[in-house]
Amino acid sequence: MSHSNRLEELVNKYENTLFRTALAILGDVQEAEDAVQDAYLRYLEKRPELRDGEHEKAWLLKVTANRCKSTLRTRKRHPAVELLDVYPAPDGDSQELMEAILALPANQRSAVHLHYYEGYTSEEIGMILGQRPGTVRSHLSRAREALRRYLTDNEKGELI
Amino acid sequence: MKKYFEYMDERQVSDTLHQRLLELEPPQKRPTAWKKYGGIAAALALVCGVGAWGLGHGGWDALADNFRPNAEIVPEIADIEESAIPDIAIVEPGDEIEPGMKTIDGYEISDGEVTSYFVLPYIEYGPPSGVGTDYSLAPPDGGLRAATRDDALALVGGEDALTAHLNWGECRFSGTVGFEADGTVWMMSLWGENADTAFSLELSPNHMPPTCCVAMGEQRTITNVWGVEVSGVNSAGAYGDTERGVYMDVSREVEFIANGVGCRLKAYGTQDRAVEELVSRFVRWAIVEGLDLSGISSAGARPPEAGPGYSAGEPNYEPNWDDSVDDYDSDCPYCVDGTAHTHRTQEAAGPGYHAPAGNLPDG
Repeated sequence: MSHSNRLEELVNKYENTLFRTALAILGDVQEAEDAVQDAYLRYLEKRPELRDGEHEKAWLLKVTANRCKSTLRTRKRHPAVELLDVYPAPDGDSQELMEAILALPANQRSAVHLHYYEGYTSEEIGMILGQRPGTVRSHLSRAREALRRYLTDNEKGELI
Repeated sequence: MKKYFEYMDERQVSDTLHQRLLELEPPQKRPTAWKKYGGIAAALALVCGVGAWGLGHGGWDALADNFRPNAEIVPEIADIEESAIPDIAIVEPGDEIEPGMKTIDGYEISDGEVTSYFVLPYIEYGPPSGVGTDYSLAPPDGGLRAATRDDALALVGGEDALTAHLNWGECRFSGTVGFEADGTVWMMSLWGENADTAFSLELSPNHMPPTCCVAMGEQRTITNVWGVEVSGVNSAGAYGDTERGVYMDVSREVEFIANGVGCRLKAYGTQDRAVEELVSRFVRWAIVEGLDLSGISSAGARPPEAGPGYSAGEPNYEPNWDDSVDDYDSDCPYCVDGTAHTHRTQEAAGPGYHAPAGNLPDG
């Protein structure tokens, strides 16, 4: 498969996954777009030999998360245009939930997104974010406390 | 969380970005800027030795084989001028080495067959200033209590962080936590000590812990660590305890604000390397992972001006001492609230008497 075909396949398959993860971590559309672009650039640079789709997805997510962390470290202030300004929530309840999630520290937001939205376990999230599973569980535990009123009974339960 | 799913489902990459992604070209290969220094290759390879990573998310079993890097770990990078970005397939584990960034020895953590390597930042240390923390500025309507190991755990995010990342697992902890009237932390002063090292850590939310004086025109030695300005001092004095035969004459001090927490760390030991690693591990953790003062409870805090014998602002808080009491018992409610009383056993008082903690008020 040619390089451009391979890239097109990866872009079509994972661009939205990476974009949503970057949005969750950064809370900023422009920065999220930059992170996604950088992730694919890194893929083109490194050309990792990965076995299958799940490995590709994990690799790209990890690079995206790393890029987001770099952005957060160098960010001097809150983003000028926040996510909810660009993409307002459709109703009051959604707005309230999104504001609560975006108010979480970045580590907790990342864990929440990867666990609840992407369905990863603590161990998997730990590999993506470069953290120990115990650390991930700690982030999720704190996030669940903060978001308690928004979680169903199932979601409040033990982390898988 | 259904509304979160719905919100995120709606978020799609724009047509502009999509097109840009399709048109990406591999970047120009940059020369590998390895530097050799004193015969040691300045190669920092980050190992992600993922073995049988049996994760239930489908197809993860052989992830290790695909993530194995090409280079070996070089355990020590001493006195290098610049760290090059290693040419590996994946940046591990979230601590990117930026061009020009200096590092010292890192550390590994193994979790089953997963080994992660963590970079430790190099910090420049300058001459000391003699400025210390001022505890007398405690809010008069706030509270103070002794700091504990649980506070350290809450601060850093759990046992893994405390033990594996910070290497504080063997430490005995003490200190003081000061609270605002609303129960939020005003300042935390934590003392940790093990057989080889000791540290004093002062923290405040959103600003540096207040100091006793302002050093006008002072030149601070600053190191930029992942975007955070870290001020380093090459001596914070010595720490000693003659009764226990402890004397640590090597020390370092750093100050910085990261993730909304102002930190002042003084580290003590007998070897430069161990002390600097203690500092760098903490700096890394505070910047990369963040410290959390919100999880520290104000339960048990007492007003700063609680009565005679109280030393507001001292790092080792002494409870209100009533000379009429033989000995202070923190489980005795009369000791705690200062009621004059004596301690007698329940047996001495007679069967059927149920004094709280066996102590009786006078009269």
